[in-house]
Amino acid sequence: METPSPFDLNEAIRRWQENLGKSPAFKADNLEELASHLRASVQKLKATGISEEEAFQIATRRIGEHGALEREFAKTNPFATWSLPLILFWIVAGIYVFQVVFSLVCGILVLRHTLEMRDFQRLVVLRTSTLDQVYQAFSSHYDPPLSFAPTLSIVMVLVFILGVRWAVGSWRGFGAFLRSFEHPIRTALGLVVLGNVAIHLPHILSGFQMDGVWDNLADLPVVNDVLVLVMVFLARRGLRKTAPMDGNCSQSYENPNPG
Amino acid sequence: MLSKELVAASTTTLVLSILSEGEEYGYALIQRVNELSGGEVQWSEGMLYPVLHWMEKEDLIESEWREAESGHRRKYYRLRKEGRKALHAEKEQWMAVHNLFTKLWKPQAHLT
Repeated sequence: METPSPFDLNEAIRRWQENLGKSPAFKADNLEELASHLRASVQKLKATGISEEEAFQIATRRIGEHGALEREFAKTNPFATWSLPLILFWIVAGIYVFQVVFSLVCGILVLRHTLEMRDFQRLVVLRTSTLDQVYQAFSSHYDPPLSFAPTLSIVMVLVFILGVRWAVGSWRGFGAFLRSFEHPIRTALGLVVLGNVAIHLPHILSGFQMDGVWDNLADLPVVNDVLVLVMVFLARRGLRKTAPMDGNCSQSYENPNPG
Repeated sequence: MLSKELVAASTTTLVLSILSEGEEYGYALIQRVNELSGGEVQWSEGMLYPVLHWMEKEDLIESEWREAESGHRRKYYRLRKEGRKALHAEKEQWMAVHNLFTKLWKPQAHLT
């Protein structure tokens, strides 16, 4: 039964572990336990008369598909799948969405003359610089009276999304990136709120009284763009390393020894 | 074959029951369930480990890495006091369901 074979079980298992280890859902202890399981499984399968390589292939299939394993393990190591890029993504995305909605609403209200600037300030608790832009853009004092702010914020959202897509490498990767949280919706909403509170903190702290220093600090577009730049450029490498985004992992461990 | 829902519902109890007979490592647990059920209960192998880790976190079981005869290390799981208590409670519940079905299905068995 012991025929000489170029297949090296230890090497195959090491590569399988390495592949799995790219995901933060697995701790070193988990990987060792799974490897120990594979060894036992290969041993048992080999006893039926098949080759070590075939036994390894069957054993890896039985232990489970990469994505499914990752999801289950992530549940026991919930915080392992948190990543700084993802947290930043939701914070920045939240700020952008807020800006778009807010500037559109303001734009429409001012355009329909249902609100005067003074009433507006009384109504809206958080007076953002976007609001100022919108008012200027839509007011008759402004020349030309373009729908400048809403358009600008929509363009900025598109730039932001394209930037993240570029950082991740593909649209599919973008999807995987968003799903790599354990509780995406709940956590994302929390971060969206957090981001908006943080960005409006200068206004809140100053009791909504604008003075020069706070006003500059709360200059939304600048803060947003800095965050986006930091995220896209610094995270590009880290993102590709930490998350199994392109779906290649399952293919490579089903056929660990091509040729 | 057992449905996915039933497998999920019974996994913890099965693990507790097998470990009540003595310590065991993951692969052997799966083999044991396969043999005892005649292949009716099939766990997706890798999925057992997160369950074991959760049970360990809940103090139902504890684990220890030890060297096997092959020279490779294996992680053995054994029952803890809490686990024994949990098993006792689980047993009562499963037996209640079992008894209920036995009573309900008895007359039908005579008819067919």
